[in-house]
Amino acid sequence: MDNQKDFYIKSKFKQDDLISKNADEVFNNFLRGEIKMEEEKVVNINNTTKEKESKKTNIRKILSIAATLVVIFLGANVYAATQGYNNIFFIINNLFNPTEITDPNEILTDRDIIISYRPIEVSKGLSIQINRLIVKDNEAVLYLDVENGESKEEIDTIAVYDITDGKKELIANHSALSKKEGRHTEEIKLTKFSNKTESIQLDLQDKEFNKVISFEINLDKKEINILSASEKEMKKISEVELKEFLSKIVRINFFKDKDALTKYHTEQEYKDEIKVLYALELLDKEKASFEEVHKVIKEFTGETFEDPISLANIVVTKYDDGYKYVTEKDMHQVKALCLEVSDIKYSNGIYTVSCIYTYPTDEDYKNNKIEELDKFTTTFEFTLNENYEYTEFCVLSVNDFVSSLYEVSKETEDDIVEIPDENEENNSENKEDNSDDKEVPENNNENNNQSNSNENSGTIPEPPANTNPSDSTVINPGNVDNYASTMVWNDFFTPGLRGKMPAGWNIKEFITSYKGQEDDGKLAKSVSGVAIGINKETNEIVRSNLIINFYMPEFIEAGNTLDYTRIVANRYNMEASEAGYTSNEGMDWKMVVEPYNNREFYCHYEPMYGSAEGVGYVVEIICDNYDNYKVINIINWIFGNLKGASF
Amino acid sequence: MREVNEPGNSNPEAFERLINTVKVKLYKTGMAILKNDDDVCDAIQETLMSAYKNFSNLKEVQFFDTWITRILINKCYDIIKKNKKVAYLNEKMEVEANESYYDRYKEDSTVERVLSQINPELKLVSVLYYYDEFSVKEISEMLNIPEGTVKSRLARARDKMYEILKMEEGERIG
Repeated sequence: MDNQKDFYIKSKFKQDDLISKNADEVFNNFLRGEIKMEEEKVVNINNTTKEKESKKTNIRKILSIAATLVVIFLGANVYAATQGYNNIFFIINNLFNPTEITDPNEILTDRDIIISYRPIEVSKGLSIQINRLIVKDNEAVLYLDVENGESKEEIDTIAVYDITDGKKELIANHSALSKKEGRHTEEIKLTKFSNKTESIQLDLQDKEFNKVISFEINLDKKEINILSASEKEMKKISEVELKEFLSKIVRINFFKDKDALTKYHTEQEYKDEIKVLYALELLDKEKASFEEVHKVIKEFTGETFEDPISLANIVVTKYDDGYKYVTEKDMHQVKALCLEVSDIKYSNGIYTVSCIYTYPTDEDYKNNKIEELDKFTTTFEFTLNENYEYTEFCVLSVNDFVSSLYEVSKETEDDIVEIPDENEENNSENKEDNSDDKEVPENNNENNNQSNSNENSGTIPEPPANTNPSDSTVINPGNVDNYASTMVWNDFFTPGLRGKMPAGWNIKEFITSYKGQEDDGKLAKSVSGVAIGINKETNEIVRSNLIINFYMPEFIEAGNTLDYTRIVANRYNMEASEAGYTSNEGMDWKMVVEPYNNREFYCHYEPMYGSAEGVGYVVEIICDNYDNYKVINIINWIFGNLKGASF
Repeated sequence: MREVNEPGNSNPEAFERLINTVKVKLYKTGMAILKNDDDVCDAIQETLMSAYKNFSNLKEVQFFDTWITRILINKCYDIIKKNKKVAYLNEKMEVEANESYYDRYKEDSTVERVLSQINPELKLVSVLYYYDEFSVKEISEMLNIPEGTVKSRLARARDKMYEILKMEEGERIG
């Protein structure tokens, strides 16, 4: 079927031979202009020769000189042929243009290979970072960042850099810049680099041409092996290993997926499970003692656990030799794949790295569909373990991941979309609505500022600088519908709740289906989306997955506590009483106890006239980034203000 | 001894003949990357100069297509980089003018009309495979990406393009 489709597409494409007039002229001008000029040169030479031939001269000397020149010329051409040139002029041309490409098959493919982000301490006070290899305009240049510290002790200074290829042929010999202190960059031109060069060897020599250290650099795998070091043994550095590590660790961010919310009570529970899972994978065991697992966790997160951790899917079972974590064979495991690491920064032993990743399933691997999956990016910090048993990398910000829902694409800046005018109008209307509110808390002002900043900017905000993976990859902020500032918000009012809802969210059922006690307390409507806002000061995007549940109004009989508990079943608990049944000040934010620390309730009780009875209304908001106060601001922005609706 | 129509012998006639066989392909490839006729013309001009200069050293005639397309792709990327650095005073006017040409071109060219409806990252691979008729291996080498990536991009592009073409055909018949 694919072949049929291919054939069909090719046949349709073949019918199209449209070329612009300009482009056609470019071809014709070149073929008739530049080439003809070359041809004319040949014709002119021939004509001149003929003219010369036609002139008869009787001067024998001239003839003999000419004959000698011809013999020399022929001899030179024979020599040129033995050297692989068409004629002697090519040799002469080559002498004057020694850098000209001799074989177009050897035109170097443009490449930019980031080799290493880690400075290597060559000797005390001297470190070298083998940064990148850039091939551009048929020239290959290796960039090294060299740092000479201020050590008073005598240090090795590098005088010469020799580079050889896999066949041990010298492809560069470079004299070091004469910088004695501080950081500088050496640019080493690899004059004999070819497309086939897969690995190079870099030899650093001191001023007496003694080898100080040698590195073998694999350009495909981006690995550096220390072949010989003058002072201490160096460790292997591998981007491949870093990617493997990140692939395991970014699974933690899968919790951002709303499905995961339903499987675990808290985000921490999910993260702890991933850590234990990772430890078991490193140990290559389905069950392992909790002490052993905790030792691994200590190595890759720095966290210390003394007692077994209570987890949702990994059980702790008592065996004769102690408690062990046990995984089930068919346990569903989230798979993550780190596709690209970039933007690596180093400071005081801490590395900051951006990683683009995706969540492939076995099917995706099988069907070769990794490319099609949604991609995300996150930034985190890690350090390297000096002496390690299980893993070289120790992640520091495991509990502090930057939100990861940036969709990544390779599209260009052209894709930045302007906010539609109608939305601007809508926002200004919303602002007016807000101005009617009785109370406007401080952070609400801040929040309004945020929304204003969005309006003023006129474009979808770019993601924070520290999440840009590289210059070549543009982070697309994702579906514009996800942006609070770019969505169309409609005011809504229902008994007990007033605020703004995205245009696409339908709460009709909630408004119209109030039927007294018939459906009391039951979930009427659940809407979900991603709330996104901007921190005006830092221009940082803040986001949270958001689920808003609307419950049917509940008729509450005077003194019947059972009724109000039915509003939100067992989750509501004592919060209703804390909010105050008869409050007319509107709904209040309340934090409920574990395990619902990421859930919020708006609650309100409206007394019936002349009666102790009334109606209770509840809206539940679940967000996975509650700890960030800016997310609350976003939610406030949606609902008007911190006090929610006043009714 | 080399034949007159072989490369390696800086024969303008041979060069001209080969260029005439690939010129539309080069244009389509350039448009798939740059979407701007002026830029494509610049890229073609640069490509022709570079290719002609080095033509005498091309050993195998069968690699001419791949070789010159690779040069063109590099030149196109150079232009993209250069354009990013240059801000034209009359940029808006220029963009509008180019857009109108591109719109007209898109209407008339089946290839561009179809390609403009698929994901931009699939365009180049599609034009190289379906129009220029390079193999997956050749495209992989040309773009310096794994063969698997080329295949997966083609797989993604195939169904969409087939659907578009069938729909167009249906509309015409209807």
